[in-house]
Amino acid sequence: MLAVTGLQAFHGPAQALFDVSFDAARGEVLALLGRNGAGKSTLLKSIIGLVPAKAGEIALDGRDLSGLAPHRRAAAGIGYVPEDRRVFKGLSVRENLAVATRLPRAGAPAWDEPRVVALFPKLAELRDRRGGQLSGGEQQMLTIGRALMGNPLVLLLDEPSTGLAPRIVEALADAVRAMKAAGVTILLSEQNLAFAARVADAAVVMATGHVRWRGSMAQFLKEPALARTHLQV
Amino acid sequence: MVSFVVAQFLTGLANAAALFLVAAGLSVIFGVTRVVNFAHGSFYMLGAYLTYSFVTRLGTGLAEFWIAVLLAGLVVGAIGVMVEVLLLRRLYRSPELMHLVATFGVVLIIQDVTLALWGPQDLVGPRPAALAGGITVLGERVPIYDLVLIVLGPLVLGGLWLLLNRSRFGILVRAATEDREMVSALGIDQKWLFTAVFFLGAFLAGLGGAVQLPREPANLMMDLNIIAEAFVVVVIGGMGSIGGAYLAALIIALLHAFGIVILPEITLVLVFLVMAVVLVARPWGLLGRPEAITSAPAHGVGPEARWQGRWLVPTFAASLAALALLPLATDVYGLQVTTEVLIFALFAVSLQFIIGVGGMISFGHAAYLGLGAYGAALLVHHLDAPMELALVAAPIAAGVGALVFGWLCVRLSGVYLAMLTLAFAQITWSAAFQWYAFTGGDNGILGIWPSPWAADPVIYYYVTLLLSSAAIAALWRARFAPFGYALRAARDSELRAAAVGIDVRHTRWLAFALAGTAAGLGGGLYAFLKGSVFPDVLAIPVSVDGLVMLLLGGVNAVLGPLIGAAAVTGGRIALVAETELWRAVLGAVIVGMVLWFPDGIAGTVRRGFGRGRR
Repeated sequence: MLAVTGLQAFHGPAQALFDVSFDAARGEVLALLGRNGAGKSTLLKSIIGLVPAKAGEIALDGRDLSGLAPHRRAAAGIGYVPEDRRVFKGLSVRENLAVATRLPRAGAPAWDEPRVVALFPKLAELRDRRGGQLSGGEQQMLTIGRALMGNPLVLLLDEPSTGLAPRIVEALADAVRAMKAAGVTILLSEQNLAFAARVADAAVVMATGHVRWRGSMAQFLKEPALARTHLQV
Repeated sequence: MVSFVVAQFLTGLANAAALFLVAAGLSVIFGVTRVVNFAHGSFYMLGAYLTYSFVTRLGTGLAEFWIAVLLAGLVVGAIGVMVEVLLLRRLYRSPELMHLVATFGVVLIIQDVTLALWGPQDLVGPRPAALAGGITVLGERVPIYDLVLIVLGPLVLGGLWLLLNRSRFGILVRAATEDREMVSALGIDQKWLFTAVFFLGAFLAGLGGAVQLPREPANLMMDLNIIAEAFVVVVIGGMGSIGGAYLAALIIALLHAFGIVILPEITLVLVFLVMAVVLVARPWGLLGRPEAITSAPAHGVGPEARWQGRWLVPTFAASLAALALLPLATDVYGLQVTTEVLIFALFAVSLQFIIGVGGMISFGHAAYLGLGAYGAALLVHHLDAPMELALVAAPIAAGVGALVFGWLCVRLSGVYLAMLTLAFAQITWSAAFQWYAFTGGDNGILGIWPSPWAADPVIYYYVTLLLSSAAIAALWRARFAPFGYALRAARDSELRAAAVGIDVRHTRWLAFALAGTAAGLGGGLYAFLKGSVFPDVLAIPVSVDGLVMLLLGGVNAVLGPLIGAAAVTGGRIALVAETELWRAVLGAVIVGMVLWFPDGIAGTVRRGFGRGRR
């Protein structure tokens, strides 16, 4: 579904991604694991196009997206949930969802407000509340719901569990499984291994801008040395 | 008495309508695109002229009038789209200084185009017969058309509110105002959105000019007059807030309506006081949001000049020696032109001290040149003071002015600061323009000649050379002294500078006053060079000249202002002599420079050298 090949990206003069390659199969949850500064967020940003890639290819369902503006990539079927959520604080929950509304696309599950609310029931009572008045967990639900409104083929989730209470993380895991069941391919950047282990099918391990390991989640969990080397602080 | 107050109140409300339309358009455009559109006043002016043309062709029936108004708004909207697509679209990533200067280039072009199409005379727009009469309110006659405008303001406010809150377009506009990048990551084409917003803003400005036509003849001064007021409205009301724009437009219009009855000069003082109170209490404006200001990005004034120690002093000394020998090589005229260049070099260096070193964009530096010039001239005119005393008083007058205005200015940053400095410059301009008894109004003050010993142009040239270069050297010294380092630290990161113990606001305030003082000395010298002072010296074009000098020379290049001052002053003198359309040519030059040579002459040359060396 999503194939990244030889991606190179820079923050100013400093190279942040070195020759990053991996695939995410249709309908799978791929965990992107690594410490702070490993390049996970930069990778997601260069997939949606907010950080320009110097070289490499990003193919969505066989179509090359590299070189397209962010809005074209979103239109092509990439949904982006940034780490800092970036809800529109002055807009109501309903308006936040409306910003991303898009006509249904062939081959992708179609989302609308009722379906998003069914996924995150909490949003129903918050509909007319402004984005800035939501709690962290509510904002997280809103940004995920907002990205779904664009009917994405691939959803990029950047550290969604950061700073959330365990109960909310629980609900989030359910939501990820539900989106997967609906047919959305998910690229999940995480530092919270326990959370990733529960929802992911496969894993890509990153360190200092390089891909260090690729394989199934089950395999990753069988090799504790991997987590020790690349994840533990 | 009551009836009179009511009548003035209604006049004020009617005045507010056009001002609100312009300010609302400015605000909407800034909110989404982060561009302060200096040409917004020109859109307003075009709206008035176009309505005049449409009404005279269509006829003065009620329906025809409103069709003409709407048509004018739409045409202006289309012109706005043209400006956005051809110019601003290429500049969204540039520093805000570039936006202001580029759109001022558009102002100059539109001025000459308007002059060419409609001629220099004021055009009185016919008022539709159905709206020509008046009704009597409590014994005072109020024009029906005023009542129409009074209704129009809230009507447009309501319409805009509906558009912004109840339509998908409005939701996108509000979302983009908060976070453009996220909006694009959600699949919205920003280009389309920006163009649409520009159309809306320009349409509102055009509409403002159109509805103003029956009350005020279309004239060539409408553009800069309204833009200065619109800046005041936006600063008071809060950038990006439509409701704030309406509220502030009401306040300003009412101040004018009542002030004009008591004493016209009082109006300016009142406007200033209102701004002062609002900005001290709520720096982000009455209905604006605090984060809009604090999140203002660094101003990107370019890399810090590296060309200092080794070359600066020898170059400066060599230039001084060459300038000292100049009287041997040129005639009186050439000497007078060079004297003017020297004065503007000081002006440009002092402006650079605020913008390049201090990181504060000033769009009203002419105020301090003018305060110096008027300070000297008034002293000579009213008290018969000698030149020597007047030249001491000039920098003091400007310095005090800069202390007062600067005290408020340093509370803001970015474009808010730029708008505020421009508003202050307009206040001083209006004061000089209106206060006939004291300043002579637009007749100026004549007969400001140097003392007998300095009357010879050669001597006066040396006086100017000595004082200008001393002041320039002092500003450079300050730039590379601990004070200058503190100032530059605050420019690059306000928070970090504050964290190491720099009182940012205080440092900036001092810098502002210092630069104002230096400009004031230039103003004093200018008055005695010309032998007279007119309000023009305080006007917006002089402030923009200063900015163009900086841009031409490179905003941060140490010698940049000197190169820029010579190029602009010399170029302008040549241009005015060569062509009637000098404004349009100058505007085109400015626009071209911003698009293709944003680093200026010095920067482009340096880049060229850099490439050669590699």
